[in-house]
Amino acid sequence: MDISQIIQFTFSGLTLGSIYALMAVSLSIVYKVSRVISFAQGEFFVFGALTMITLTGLGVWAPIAFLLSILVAALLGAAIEQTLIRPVLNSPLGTIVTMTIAVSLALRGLALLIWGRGSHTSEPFSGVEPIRIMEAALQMQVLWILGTTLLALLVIWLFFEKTMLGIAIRAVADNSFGASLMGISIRKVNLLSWSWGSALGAVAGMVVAPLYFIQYASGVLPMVNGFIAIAISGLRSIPAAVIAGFFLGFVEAYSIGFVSSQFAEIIVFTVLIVVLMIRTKTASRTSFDEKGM
Amino acid sequence: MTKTTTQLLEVEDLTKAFSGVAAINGVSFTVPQGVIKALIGPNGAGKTTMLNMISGLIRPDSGTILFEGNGIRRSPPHEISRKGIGRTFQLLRLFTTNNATVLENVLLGANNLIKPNILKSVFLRRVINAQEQEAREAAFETLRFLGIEDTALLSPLALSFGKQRMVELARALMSSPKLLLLDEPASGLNDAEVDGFMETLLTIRAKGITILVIEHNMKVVMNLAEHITVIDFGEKIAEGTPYEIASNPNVIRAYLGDDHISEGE
Amino acid sequence: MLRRYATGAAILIFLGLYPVTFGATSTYHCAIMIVLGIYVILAVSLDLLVGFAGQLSLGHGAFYAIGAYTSGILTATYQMSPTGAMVIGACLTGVIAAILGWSVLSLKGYYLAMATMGLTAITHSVIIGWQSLTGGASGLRDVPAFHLFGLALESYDSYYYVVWILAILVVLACLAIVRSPMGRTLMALHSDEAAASTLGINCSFHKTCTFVASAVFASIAGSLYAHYMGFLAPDDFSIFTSIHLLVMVFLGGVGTLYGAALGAIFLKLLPELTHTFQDYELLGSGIILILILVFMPQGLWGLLSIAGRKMLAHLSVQAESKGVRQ
Repeated sequence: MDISQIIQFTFSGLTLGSIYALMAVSLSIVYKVSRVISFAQGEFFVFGALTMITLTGLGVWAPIAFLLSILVAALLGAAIEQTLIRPVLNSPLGTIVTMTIAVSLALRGLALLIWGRGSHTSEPFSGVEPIRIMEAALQMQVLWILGTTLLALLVIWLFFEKTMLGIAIRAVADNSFGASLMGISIRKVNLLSWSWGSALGAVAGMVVAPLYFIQYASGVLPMVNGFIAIAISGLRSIPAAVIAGFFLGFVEAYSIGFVSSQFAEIIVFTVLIVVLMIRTKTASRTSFDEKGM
Repeated sequence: MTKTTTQLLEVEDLTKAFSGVAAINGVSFTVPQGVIKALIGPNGAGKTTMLNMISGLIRPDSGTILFEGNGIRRSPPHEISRKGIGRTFQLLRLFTTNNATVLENVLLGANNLIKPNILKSVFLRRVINAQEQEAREAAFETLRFLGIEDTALLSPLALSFGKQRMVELARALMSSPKLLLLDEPASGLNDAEVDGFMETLLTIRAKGITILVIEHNMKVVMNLAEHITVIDFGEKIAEGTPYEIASNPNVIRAYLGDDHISEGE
Repeated sequence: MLRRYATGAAILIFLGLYPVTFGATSTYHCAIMIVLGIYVILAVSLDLLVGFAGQLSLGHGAFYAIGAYTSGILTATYQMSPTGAMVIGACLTGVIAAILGWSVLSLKGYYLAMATMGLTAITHSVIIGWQSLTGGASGLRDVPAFHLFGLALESYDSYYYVVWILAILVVLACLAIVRSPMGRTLMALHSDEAAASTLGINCSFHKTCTFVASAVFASIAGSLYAHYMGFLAPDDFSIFTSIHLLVMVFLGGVGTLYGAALGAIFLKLLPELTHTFQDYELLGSGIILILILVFMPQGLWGLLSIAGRKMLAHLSVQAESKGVRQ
């Protein structure tokens, strides 16, 4: 074990942490507003990445392709919320979960048809030469990932804190009945939250595409890790989701680095189960209301 | 012949706080065997919390609960039920998934008698079937007693609120509880239904079942209850017979008085 | 009543004669039916847990895996008899399910789904990681064919009967549970645990029992799968598997048992039907599921029931007027 290895793993941790943080925030926003944890969130990761790759392949300037892909994902998310999620919002939980699973199957199937079974990768945003820090190679892209993640989180913070629309969404998340009495349209807010969620998922995919090979089924793993992150954070707040995402990224990076990827997976899911158990035990003493969370 | 009254339920110094706010603060009372006792008080006084603690759904912070002399404060709800305490809920909690019918709801009240489990279902069908027959007959009896036997095969969702109430009551009666906890059973009933309901309670009491009822309907409380405990803001403010309660200044103040409003929470 | 027995009898006769009629045309047809039988066991046992006890579990893949690998390892490496290995696998699964279930089943809703998903993922990783025992990512090879009392049942024809007899037994067991007072108890704790507990129902105990029962059935399916394939690959037992099973249950109609069987058969036959349009299968299954969930939440079974009822009404008014409630 030497320093350069630790540094290398730290870079991995930052990369993974960024993806998981973005996925976790994406899932959080959707959940806080519509009370649905979407099993389809990973597919926006894929759609964002592959759309951008296609666009740049067609000669579109990268930043434009980036923004266009975000737009596509946001519209896709809105369309799905409107047509598929809204009808089942009052159904039992199993139906809602299965619906989001169905959406993920359909999206994955669509991605398969459009982009095939092969893996795709994209050009790094700037430069191919990695920076050397004490024999550890830091891909420039990692800095882009961090930067974009922080920028995205800043945008989210500004939106939800400073804009009327953002505050309205928070109002609905807090107390949807009260918010509707104030004239806030719950439907519009639900729509927006899904758009935000899918946009963030797309950003995560696009920013990490230069480092990994993305194929039609690549979205599941980031999504599952997003689940773990929000479960750890307790779905309480966006900052908590971000911290949990990075925490998870580091745990995974160090586990993969020092032991193996199987060990990492076991550790990560064990942490999930343990955290959930602890939280349930401490909560069970006060009330007996059984909505899942 | 002297009649010794045993205390069926003894609640002593019970306290429960939620997020630092005391819902129940050091309340004590007893329920003698064979009576109808009412627990009354303004909304939000903590009465339902009290019932939830007695039936085991919420754990008290401190204090004791004795049922037939045995401590039940730490017992889980299903054990408390098996000891002989049954209850209904203020906001009805009937079973409605998987196309559940009224009959199935009521039959579930007999679970303490049938004691089903998976192995029995697969390997001891004959035994189960015999028990099931008996339970069905008992269920129809109970439904008949409460006047709703024609709803047996319907979904509870198809019934009027008053009839749903009766279904919940039937379900609670099936295991022949020794103590019946009722949470606002008369709310939502019209005058005629209330009269019928009071008769029903008297018949239940005549079968030897002790009743502790939370009620806002003063007709029911004053005419039916032999003992009354009044709670306000989580504390006991009065206790006694209906006559004593009606003339108690603390009670009047709690329900109508200025102090209540100016204390403003 | 007679109608129900008639359908059941017809199905049994069809199943009994299949290998010598339709299945006789090629071994492939028998092989398909074997796979269907295995998935019927998996789906129906999952429906018991999800549709009746109301526990949204994505952990079925884990128990499927434990059964498969226990049977595979014990028969391939230790030359144990397949029946013995299956029983050991089932017991092992039962114990693990009891321990895990007792802890995890206190979770509800999304948290339960995630925790059970975690169980599947952990099992998957353990299988890959424990290479010396399980063959790791390259898989477990040379699992012998099933044999009973020295009678080798290597051909698909004969193994078919083993699989389907077990499948029918599992379905009958689940039906027995669901139609008994226990079934009512499950419905109660599905509907409202707090209220159920005030009726004397020990919810944790019954949830765990159901979890264990469904896990044991999944384990049996896994053992059957091991001897069918002769080879086990860890990716057959991943989160995707658990999700796939859940989809089968909901597609067929959650909470009906027959629906789960139907969903399993449908999803397993789908690749056969979309052979030339293989790439469309994923999108197709997603769309079908979406349509079912929006327009016909009672699933394919609900669709079939309604169609069947309309047909019977059309054919004979008599049968309809009896109005027998299932």
